[in-house]
Amino acid sequence: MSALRRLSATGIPVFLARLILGGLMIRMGLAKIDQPVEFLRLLDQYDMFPAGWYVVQNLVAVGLPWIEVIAGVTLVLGLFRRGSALLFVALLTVFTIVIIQRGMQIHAIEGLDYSQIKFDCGCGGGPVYFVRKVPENMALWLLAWYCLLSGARRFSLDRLCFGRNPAHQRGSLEFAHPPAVDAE
Amino acid sequence: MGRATVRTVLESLAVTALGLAAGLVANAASDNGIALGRDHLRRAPQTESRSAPRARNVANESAPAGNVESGQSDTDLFAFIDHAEVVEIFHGTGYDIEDIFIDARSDQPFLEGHIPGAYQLDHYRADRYLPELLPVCTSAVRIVVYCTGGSCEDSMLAAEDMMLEGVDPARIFIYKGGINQWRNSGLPIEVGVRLSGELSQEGP
Repeated sequence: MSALRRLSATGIPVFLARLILGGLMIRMGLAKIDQPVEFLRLLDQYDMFPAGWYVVQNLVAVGLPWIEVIAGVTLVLGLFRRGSALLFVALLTVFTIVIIQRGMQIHAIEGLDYSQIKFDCGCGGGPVYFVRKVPENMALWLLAWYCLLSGARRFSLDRLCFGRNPAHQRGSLEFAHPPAVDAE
Repeated sequence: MGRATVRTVLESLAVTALGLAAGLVANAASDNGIALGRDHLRRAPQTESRSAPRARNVANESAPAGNVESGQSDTDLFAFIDHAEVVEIFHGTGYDIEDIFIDARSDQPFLEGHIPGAYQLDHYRADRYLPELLPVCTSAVRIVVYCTGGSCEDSMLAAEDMMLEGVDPARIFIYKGGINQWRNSGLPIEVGVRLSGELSQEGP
């Protein structure tokens, strides 16, 4: 067994990944949780919704920050950790695509070099450079995949609530870990 | 699809549903909540620069909706009004009876300071203000709408709210300088709710 695999099997790396990803999403969600108008305006810049879909856009403005916070909390606690991780994979995929599209749009319209493009993406951290935000999102996206696929369940409420290694927790999503890990 | 995959997807949907439900409850309970059934970000109409007509007769001049002045496009619904005219209206004898000011900002900045006697119409929570405001607007000769100033769109959106409720757009004027220009000119500011009587004066 390689050293990396042994380290991963301790459950510490995925726990750290959960803390980082969950913590950041909680922070970003909280930053816009009581500002639906401002978030709605920022959402509108992406032009994601067809004309007449304003109810959906309003729902996203009202609900998305809460979804980020609640999924962040559940991920940190390790309750529904895989469901939360899957949600972040999906959200970060969409976020990254629309941010790239917006950056390309600004580049095309204003003729700015990509390194000079800076805008408020609605992520919760204010205006940010495009060339910095995209790699950040990609890194978080990889962390979300890691949390989703890792089978290590230490430091999680899932383990407390559903037992050490119940049959329904085993499945095709998990990385192969040596049996000794879950048995601990 | 394995059981673990189905379980993960269900967990994900549960977290989403929980988040959405929390968002809806918080939105309904919060002063900053928005009406979900309204198109808040519809494109604000463009504005032409023209002088505010002198009072009195303007109420009787019924400009056809969407065509304030001959030769203007349908989207040129509201006129700009410059700072000097706004000050003149404020000091005029008809202020607060025939001419009114409407502050299109949200609660917090309104309470921190607005043009004395100004009504509030926050476009994003328009339903709260329109019932009280519409009778006043119907009888007003000139309605001056402002927000922060500069590039803010809220005054335009509030003006459109009033127009959609039947207020004649020919009576609506946008004060583009907004509260910033008013404040910087050293004119009085009313703090707190409308007609609180608490005035302050800033600027030069």
